Amino acid sequence: MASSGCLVSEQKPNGFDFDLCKRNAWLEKQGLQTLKPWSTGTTICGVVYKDGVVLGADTRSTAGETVADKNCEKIHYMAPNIYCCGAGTAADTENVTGMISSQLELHRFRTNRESRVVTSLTLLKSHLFRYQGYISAALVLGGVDCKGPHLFTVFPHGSTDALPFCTMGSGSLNAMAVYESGYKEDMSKAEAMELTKRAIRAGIFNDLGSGSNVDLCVITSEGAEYLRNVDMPNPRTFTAVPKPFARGTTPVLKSKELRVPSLESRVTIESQEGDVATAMDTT
Amino acid sequence: MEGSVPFFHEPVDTLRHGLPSAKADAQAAHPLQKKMISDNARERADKLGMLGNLYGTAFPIKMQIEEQMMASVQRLPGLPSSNLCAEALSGKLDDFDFADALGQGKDESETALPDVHALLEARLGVSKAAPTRELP
Repeated sequence: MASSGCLVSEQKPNGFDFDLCKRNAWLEKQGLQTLKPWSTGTTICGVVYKDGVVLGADTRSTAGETVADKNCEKIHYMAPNIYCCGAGTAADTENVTGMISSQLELHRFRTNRESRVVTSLTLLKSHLFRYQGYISAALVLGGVDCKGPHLFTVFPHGSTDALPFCTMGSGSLNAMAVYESGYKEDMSKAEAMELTKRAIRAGIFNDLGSGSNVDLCVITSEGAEYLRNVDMPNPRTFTAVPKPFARGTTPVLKSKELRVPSLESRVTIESQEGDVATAMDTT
Repeated sequence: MEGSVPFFHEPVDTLRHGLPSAKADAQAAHPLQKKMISDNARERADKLGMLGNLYGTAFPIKMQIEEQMMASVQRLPGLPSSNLCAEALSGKLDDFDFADALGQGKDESETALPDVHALLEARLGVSKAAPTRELP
């Protein structure tokens, strides 16, 4: 793997290039402040009910102390029957779930079967463990397959938990308080959705890293229903609508009227024989 | 060229590798670097061992012979190669990794044509470049 003075090196294994790490470490020692990655200081949660799984997430992503995205999507698609909420660095969660989703699709082509939730769980945990926690992605993975509904949490270092209800992110304690007091076995779909909405709202109103709206995803054996912005408890009530200014608000100093001659005086349009469709289309 | 004649080599890439320091060069630039190198080797050895235990030693040996056959069909270094047969045999064709998502050329900052001669010299060990200061 030698660079030998040329610009393009040979294929790097695993797509990673550690060439600049020493330089970056030296620069940081000299006091350079690197860009802060966008993180999803967040509230994500999930609960298993009678027929399936309900996943919930807030929609705020932060870059340090500023809100970077007021309405981001934290519930990522993994398979038609599996969805995954992500907390941590936004790029990490999006790309890890995207990569595992691609692996699952290739696996589905190969085996010709619906993906199982434990398959995506194993792929995620072995991937995250391989990178020793440097990929900061804390996930809530939920889905329904031939063995029934499943709900798992995956931590950035690669450990997992199988639970009937779980929460992750900076607002996880707020959401967990709601779940612990309101959870019961074999809930109906409406009860589970209402409980999840309450849990996410608890995170939105009590945690600085979470905010804006509530997203839900309901997965059953029939399929998944992604309810984007199902609850919007933080409307922007004073949106600035530009008032049109009346004519004459700006004083007119001088005006000049130009008459554009019609093209017929300069160009003669000949009608063509043959099919109009064969004429060259320049649109 | 050897002997008393001064032998000029290409400049050391200080920006990438830093000032020369025996201790720093022996260590990895990032804690993950050594682990990823050893992981690849370990996974390969584990897989061959498992297949040997399951199907007998002839099976992994035959697999390795086929892989060597695939590896012997190559283009000049630096030119893109799909390695279709090698990936199909090893199962990597159905896998999706960072290498498939990152560094796909359109995001790369280095988009110059590869210097095939320099890469081939480096591969054969007759290059005029400075000895590499990266981990093997």
